[in-house]
Order: sequence, then structure tokens, then C-alpha cells
Amino acid sequence: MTRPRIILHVAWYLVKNRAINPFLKKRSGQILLVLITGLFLINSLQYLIGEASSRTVLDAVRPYLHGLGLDHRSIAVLISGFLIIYTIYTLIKGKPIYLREEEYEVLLSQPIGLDEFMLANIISILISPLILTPAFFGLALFGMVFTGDPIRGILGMFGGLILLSGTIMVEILFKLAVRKTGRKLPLIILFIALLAAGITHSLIARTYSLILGIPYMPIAASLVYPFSKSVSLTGAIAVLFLGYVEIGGLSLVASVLSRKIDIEDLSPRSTVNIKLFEGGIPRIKYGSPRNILYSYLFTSRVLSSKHLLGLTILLSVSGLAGLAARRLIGIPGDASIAFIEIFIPMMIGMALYTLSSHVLAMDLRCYWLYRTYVIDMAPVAGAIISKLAVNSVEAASIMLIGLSFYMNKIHLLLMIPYYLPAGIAGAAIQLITLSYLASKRQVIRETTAGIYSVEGLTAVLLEIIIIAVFMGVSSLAFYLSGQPLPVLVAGGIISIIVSYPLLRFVERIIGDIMTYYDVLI
Amino acid sequence: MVNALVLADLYKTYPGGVMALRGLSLMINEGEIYGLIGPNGAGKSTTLKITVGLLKPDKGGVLIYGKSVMRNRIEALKLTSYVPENPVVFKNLTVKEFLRFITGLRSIKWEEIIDYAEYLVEGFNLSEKENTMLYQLSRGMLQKVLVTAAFLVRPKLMVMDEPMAGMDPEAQHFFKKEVKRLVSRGATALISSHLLDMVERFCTRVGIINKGRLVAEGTIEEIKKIASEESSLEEVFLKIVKG
Ligand SMILES: Nc1ncnc2c1ncn2[C@@H]1O[C@H](COP(=O)(O)OP(=O)(O)OP(=O)(O)O)[C@@H](O)[C@H]1O
Ligand SMILES: [Mg+2]
Repeated sequence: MTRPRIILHVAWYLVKNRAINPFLKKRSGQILLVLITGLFLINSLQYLIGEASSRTVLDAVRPYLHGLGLDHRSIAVLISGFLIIYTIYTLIKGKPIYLREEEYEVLLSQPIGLDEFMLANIISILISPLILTPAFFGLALFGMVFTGDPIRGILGMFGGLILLSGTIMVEILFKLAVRKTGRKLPLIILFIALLAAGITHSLIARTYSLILGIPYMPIAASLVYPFSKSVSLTGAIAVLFLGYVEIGGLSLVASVLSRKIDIEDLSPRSTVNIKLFEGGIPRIKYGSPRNILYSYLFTSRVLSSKHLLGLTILLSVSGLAGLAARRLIGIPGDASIAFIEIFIPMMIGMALYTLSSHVLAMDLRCYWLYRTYVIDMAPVAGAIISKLAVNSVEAASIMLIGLSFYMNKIHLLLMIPYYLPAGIAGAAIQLITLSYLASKRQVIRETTAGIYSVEGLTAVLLEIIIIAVFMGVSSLAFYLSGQPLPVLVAGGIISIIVSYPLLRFVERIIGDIMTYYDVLI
Repeated sequence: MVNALVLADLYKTYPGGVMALRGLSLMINEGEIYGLIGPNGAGKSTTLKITVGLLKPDKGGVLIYGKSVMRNRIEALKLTSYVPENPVVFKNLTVKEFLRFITGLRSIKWEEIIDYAEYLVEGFNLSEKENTMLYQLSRGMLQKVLVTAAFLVRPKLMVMDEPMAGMDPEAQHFFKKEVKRLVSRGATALISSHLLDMVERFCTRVGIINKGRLVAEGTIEEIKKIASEESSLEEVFLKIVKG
């Protein structure tokens, strides 16, 4: 027995807490909203009056995309392929569905059915993104500048929403399916077979196989088709409609599955952290505070077997992907190379920012502890920055190994050390921002559960800076990779040598900021 | 006498392998203020979470006024309110929105309880914060908001995990007064606590839990007799727990 009134009541307050209040009641949310909407309106006026230049970004980019064998259909197929991989990942993890602490402790101890909660949760997942429009209005703006058409921009925004809700729904659906059927192997085999068939077919036929699009094409196409001039506006609207239909279908199946849901299928997020340490807490030898902090924050993380395994896998996948791409499309022409050299570092830079902000949030959870027990914060800063710098070198290696195989340019691998000083600089900027923000927050309130993430405008700026740094080194690296070998090697050695004093320098400065800033100023 | 709560032979092992409860049973009658005390990690919070259906016991059952939490979740929880161990709240709701959210789940009309809500908010010195978002409140204030919600929903059984943690003396006083008033009108309370002298003067009956088992139970006087000592509950507690 489900009670519609209760479901709507819960859904309303979930949406309010997750989406409405954070944006509409906070100053930074309001500013972002006004800024982006304003930009969109001003720009679309320009387009409507016809004063904007008739040559759009899309026109400029299209030849490169075609050079890579990419059109709207194949991009959608690729996105669908990623969703298949995400499905397999979800199935393998098969963990409970994680809820925010308050949704678990406060809401689930109230007299509501767990199925009622799940339905409200699903409704909120479908609606919340619509309200978090500032970010998505950004997508509309991007779409408009990209295609030169405000309407396509707005359609693209809805496409983005469909992809976002669709991804979350896929995760919930398959977690429920695993818990309910108790057998995940058949599902895993099914999706792996699909993926393998798609990849094989792609390699043989030298095209992006539609097999990869089988499960998720409507959702994936929703994001891509509105941006393509080869799809008419009505065609794009039809695709969006199909995307919504697919999400509706997924939600419906999820709703039906959630009827049999059990309290053990749900879990508060804090238990994720318990799981993280189940493999054992890093063993740390006694030593100077500096050594202990470095071995806890740096060595034990960077050299953990889990981390090394992940790195090895990603390096191999990237190398194989590079070889596969060479076979599929052939060594790219100059125009396409220029495009790749901008586009790929941008994507990797984004991923790097997401990863490093997560790492920082986890490390600084016990900021209060360091503040209380550690006299000198410099080693804390140094260890965290070293870790992030190593992460960016790793990201660069993953990118460069793939590209060097794809473009048959093994010299590229010599460029890896160049990313070390840049990684240190980027990490320093992130950490300074966070410790400055932390100094403004009430230390007492934020104690053990303190969350050190940046939001809103600051996050956007920080992300842009980090991506720009990564792209900057990358273009330097691509440019230099044409130089004679001794030059490359010398540059690499200089990069490594410079890194050490640079690290000590920023470590000193940030350490002081972390120790004294809020106390003295 | 009416059984407000029956916990029968509860066992619980966490995924990591920790055996938190090993055959815990207890019975609480209507009108009691039952204090559950025990050292850190004894299993108090686990017991209370099982009581309100947030965890599933490996074995054993929970009856609230004869209704099984596992089989009849909604009906059982309609009679119950719960204050969690940590002050977790919906951060982006205001105090008022949060209270309306929680009370709205029980088909209680806001107009019917608005006076009581104002009385509680005033008693806890939260009047100025009514329209403040919860992420801007201090730990003690959040605790007061959660307790306010637990009083507001007209519970028959109040399950509270260290409800006075972080409350100032004035708030503690108001809290105890309000619990006593509700209990005198037919409610029942199960409260876990570390504050032994508080338990000594406030609870009508006490259970001591250690390593997942109930090791002693009774009125304060009875427990002191078990330990055959004329001393404070603190000394009795240490004696029983240490064996
Ligand atoms: N989510 C969890 N996963 C694994 N073990 C847990 C979990 N929660 C609690 N435990 C373990 O179960 C045991 C009982 O914990 P519980 O929280 O019930 O104790 P408690 O009596 O409330 O202690 P305290 O007085 O510190 O609040 C402890 O050994 C604890 O480590
Ligand atoms: Mg506890």
C-alpha cells in the first residue's frame, strides 16, 4: 500500500533540501543564476537580431570531428558505450543504495514505507536537476554559442538533464535488480557480452558499431542530437521525447523493484568510509611528525596496491585504446591532431579536477585534528600537494600513453615529467583556496564531519584554473615533442629538479596560511 | 500493565564482523522512562536503531505496542519518535520547514500543533532561529531541533539516543521537564545515556548493557542492591561492567 500524499510530501521536501533552497536561498546560487541567465538572454538576443557572426563554433569544429570519423550518431554511440561500462561497474560493485545521513537516520525512522521513500526519491531525482538550472543553463549557453541557435541551446540543456537523470536511474535500477534477484552474474555477463560484441564489430567494420547503442541510445542521443545541424529541430525534439520515455521506463521498473525493498538495501553514506578502510589501515612506523604525515597522507596512498592496480589498468586501457583508434581511424591528419591536442587535455583536466577535489575533501575531513595536534602544518600541506601532483602526473601518463600509440609518436612519453611542477602549482592553488575558505568557517561547527569542498562560483573558477594549467602544460608538451631528443630530456630533467624547491616553497607558504591565517587576521 | 516495547533476543553482527548484540532482551511498560546505559561500543545505539527499524536484527524481534517493526513498519513507527545519536539534519531546510516536514508525515495538521511547536521552540531558546537554515546552527541547537521534532509528533514511545548531548543546562532542564510531562500523559521513553547522575535522578528504570548483552536491570535501588553497595550509580556501573 503506497500513499500518494506521503510520497509527494517527501518528494517535495527532498527537492527543497537538495535543489531549491541551496540555489535560491543562497547568495552564491542567486548570483550564478542571474549571471548565466543574463548571459544567455543577451546572447540569444544577438542571435535573434542576426548580429552575431554567422560562423559558429560548430562550423569550425565539424571538419575535425569528421576527420576523427565522429558525427552525432557515433558520439551518441560512444556515450551509450560508456553507460554500458557504468552499468557493468554498478553491477560488479552491487553495493546498497547510499543515502545522505539525514535521509537515512531521520527520514527512514519515520512512519513511511521504504517503497514510498524510494518513489519519492525517484521523483526527486527526476525533478531536482531541473531546478539546479544554473549549471544547466550554462549548458544552454554553451549549446547556443556552439550551434548559433538559442533553441538548440535550450534543447541541449534538456538533453543534459536527461543524461544526468538517466545515469542516476541506471545506477539505482541495477542496484535494486542485483539485490532483488540475488544473482548478478547473468546480468554482468549480458552487458560484458554486449560491450565485447560492440567493440569487436567496431574494429572489424571500422565504424562505431550501433551494437554499443542498443541499451541507452535514446538517453545518449538526447545530449548530442540537439547540437547537430544534420538533425532537424523536430528530429531533436523527437529524440528528447524518446530519451524521456526511456528514463520513464527505467524509473518505472525501478519503482516496481523498490516495492520489495528492504532496509538492508539502503545504507547511510558514512558506511562507505568504513568500507574504504576494511582492507586495513595503512601501517605507519614511528618517526618524526614529518615522516608520519608523509607516510600517512602520501606514501600509503600513492603506493597502495589498490591504487597501483588501478593505475596499471588505466595505463593499459589507454594504450590499447590508442592502438585500437589507430586501427579504426588511422593516424590522424594535422587538422584533427590540432583538435585532439585541445580536446583530450581538456577532458583529462576536468577529470583531474573532480578527482583532486574529492581527495582534498577526504583529507581535510580531519582538518581539526591536524589543527589541534600538529604544530607545523607545512608537512600536511606538502604531503597533500605531493599526492595531488603525483595524481596529475599519473593522469598525464594515462593520456600520453594513449596518444603516443594513436599518433605513433613515442616521444610524447618523454613529456611526462613536465607535468610535475605544473601539478604542484595546480594543487597549491586548490589547497590555498580551501584553507582560506576553511579559515572563514566556524571551526567548531565543522569539526569531525567538516566538509571541505568548494561550491558555486568558486568551484567553477577553480575548475577553470586547474583545467587551464593542465591544458597549458599539454600544449607546451605537444609543441616541444617535435624538438630534438636531447632538448626533451634536458627539459624533463629540469622539470624534476625545479619541482623540489617549488614544493618546499609552496609547502612553507601554505603551511603558514593553514596554521596562522584565521588566528592572526 | 501495557507493554509499550518488547525487544526479544536480539542478535546483530555488522558486515565488518563486529558482534554488536548477543541476545539482548528487554521489556518496557507504558509510563516508564527507561535509561539504557553502558560503556562505549556496548551496543546502545545498535539497539535503538533496531528498535526504530533502521537496522535489521540477524535474529530476534521488536514489538511496539504489539506491532512488529519488521512486519508492520508503518503502523509501529506511527507510535514512535526517534532522536538519532548524531545531530544529522536536512541542512538546507529552515527549522520551521524541517518541523513541518516531519510532522506532515503523520497526517498531523500543522495548525493543530502550532501552539505546542511555539512553546517548544521558545523553551529551547530557538525562537530567533525559526527561519534559519539548519546548516547554520550549532551542534547543541541541532540537537534541540531534533528533540523538538520528536516531541511534536505526539509519540506513544520516544526512542532517544543520548538526547542531551551538547545541550546547555537550561535546555537539559526543559528537556527533562517535557519528557516527564509527556510520560505523565501516557507516553513512554527509552533513553540511552552516559550521564549517570542524570539517569539516577530522572529515569524510573535502568538497564545496563555491556558487550551486546543486558547485564543488569531494575530500579536504581534494585541495581544498587545487585551490586550490594551503598554507593553512587557510577560506582555500581563500573563494578557491574568491569565484572
Ligand atoms: N556501521 C557499523 N559497522 C561496523 N561496526 C559497527 C557499526 N556501528 C557500530 N559498530 C560496532 O558495533 C559495536 C556497538 O556499537 P554501538 O554504536 O551500538 O555502541 P554504543 O553503545 O552506542 O556506543 P557509544 O556509547 O560510543 O555511543 C561497536 O563495537 C561498534 O564498533
Ligand atoms: Mg551510541
